[in-house]
Amino acid sequence: MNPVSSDPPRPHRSQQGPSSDPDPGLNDPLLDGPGAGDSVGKVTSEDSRGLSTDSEWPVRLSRRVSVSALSALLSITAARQVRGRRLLILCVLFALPILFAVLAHRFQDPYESEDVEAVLIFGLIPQALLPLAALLFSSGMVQDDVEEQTLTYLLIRPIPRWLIYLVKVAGTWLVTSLLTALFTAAALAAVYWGTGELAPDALVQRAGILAAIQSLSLFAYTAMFGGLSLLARRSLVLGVVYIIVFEGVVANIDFMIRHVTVMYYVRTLSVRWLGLPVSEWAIDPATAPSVTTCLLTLIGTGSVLALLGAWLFSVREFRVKTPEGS
Amino acid sequence: MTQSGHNPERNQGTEKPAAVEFRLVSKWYGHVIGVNNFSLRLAPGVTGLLGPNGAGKSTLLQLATGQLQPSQGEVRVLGHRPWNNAGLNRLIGLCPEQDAFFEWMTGREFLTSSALLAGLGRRGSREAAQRVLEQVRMTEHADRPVRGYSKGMRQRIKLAQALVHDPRVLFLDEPLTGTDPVARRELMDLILGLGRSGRTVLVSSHVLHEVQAFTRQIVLMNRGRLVAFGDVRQVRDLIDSHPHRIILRCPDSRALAAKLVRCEDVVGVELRRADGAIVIETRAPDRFYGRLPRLALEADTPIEEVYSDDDNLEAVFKYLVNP
Repeated sequence: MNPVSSDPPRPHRSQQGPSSDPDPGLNDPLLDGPGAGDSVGKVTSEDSRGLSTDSEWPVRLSRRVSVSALSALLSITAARQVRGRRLLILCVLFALPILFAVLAHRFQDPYESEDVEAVLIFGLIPQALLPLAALLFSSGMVQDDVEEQTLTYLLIRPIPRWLIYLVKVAGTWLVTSLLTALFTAAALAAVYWGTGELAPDALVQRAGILAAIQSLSLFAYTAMFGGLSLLARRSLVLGVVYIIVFEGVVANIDFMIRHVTVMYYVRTLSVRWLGLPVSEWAIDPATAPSVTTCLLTLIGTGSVLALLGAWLFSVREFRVKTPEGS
Repeated sequence: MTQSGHNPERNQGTEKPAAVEFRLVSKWYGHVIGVNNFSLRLAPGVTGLLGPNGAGKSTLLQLATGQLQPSQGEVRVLGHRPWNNAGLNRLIGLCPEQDAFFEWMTGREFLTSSALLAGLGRRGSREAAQRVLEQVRMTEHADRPVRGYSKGMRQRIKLAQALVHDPRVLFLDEPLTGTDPVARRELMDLILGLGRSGRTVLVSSHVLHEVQAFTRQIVLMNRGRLVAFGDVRQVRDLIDSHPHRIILRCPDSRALAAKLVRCEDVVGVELRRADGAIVIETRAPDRFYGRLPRLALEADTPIEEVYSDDDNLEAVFKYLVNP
């Protein structure tokens, strides 16, 4: 053996497979313990079918991705999202409009359900809670797997990286859409509870339309905050700043700049689909974007951002237990 | 152990391709070098990757499994570049070092999910999960949550997920860490069997005894560099020719040291001021240990403590890098 000193390493180029036999003269004392000599756990000759030491390389690779692989990834993503503190925070956040509705019932005299709905269902939820929920879930979409060192189990599977990311976005979007739809329906029910102003079927219909609008906005938010989490370490802080500045302030400015916010399209869809008063948010139905434009803008923006995130995810290294990653 | 010394770039047209090949590979993390100018070709069978903690073993395995991209050089597995090559992942398996799982799953669910992710389909995944559970002897505990597993059980399940899709090339990062002697024996048998079945298996470890139990072919790595590559016996010969440092503690160090300096096989004796211990260097440790009780009797001082300062690979690597 020639140990390498200062020269670059020069490898031994044996073409023979190294012997798998342990050195017979160098027994590990641990091997003499109970269980020694058992044949369990051994790979049988059947396992070696199709393997050959004379294989021709490069071997042919299949690029096919199975649907069951993608559904397993979707299921893992969803299962991760509904576990831990995140769901608890979401519950606390969305308990606020329900609590406020109950307090309004108790202390507002006379009780004006439409006013309460405008503030809570069309104000607090879409402007603050929805983007915060999206930020909360999207920022951990990849980061949780990096921090818990489970990303390795996804990256070593025959699923292209860009597709892993897109499935993660889809899983996160589905979970947040479902949860926020349920909480919003509960808040809506709390607002109209005991008023008799909205029949149960009308309440369900209204909740359904709200869920659809929220789902569209969540798609854009999830793609946006997911991409942000790949770019910045402090994505939560940056996301909160974005929500305050753009969705909180800029969306309320009656000028062209509000067209760059998700909130503007959410409000426009609310006005068009739910027939909210035209004075709301200074949106004139005559000049406001059509439903098609709103849908295309939200879906288009979300798609472009998701694809950008997928590209970022596919070119980025995620270090686990390496000098920088550990 | 052999270092043939010829340039890996030469004779490319005449050599058969290797199952795993690193060609002048370097990997930097900013100013930190993970792998430095590393070249190696592996044929089917089990190869041990040995190195102390921080040697770059995990980085090397992450490069081979396409999790990291080389800063310089080229990695080939079965003739393909692994970075961003999802199709290749069907043929390779990795047992990572980190003790991480989807903790909410049971062992069976974890393996079934791994098989599903590997594209085996629902029925195939269930069958594959059952097969590897039997291979790693975890059938009995398969339906318990992973979070409740002992370290040894977790190692078995981690190894099982690497095998679940029946890969041709396996990278096992410290697979025996934390296992009890029985589990070690079983996992060693399993790894041996994988090598015999024609798979290419690269097993990293920082314990020489662990690796030599299932292969003679070892790769020594230190500070990101290939130190040597070849037969384990020659590494052991090197270790034996390397002067062993043995530390002794006794009430009357001076008396014993006076006896020790007269021994032929003792090449150095030092009295450590800080704690009064005697540090001796010998090229024949077995003979020295055999003679020690008589020397202690002659010096009329009981031995309170004896230990070898060389029971770690770091000392060997230091010797190999700076002979």
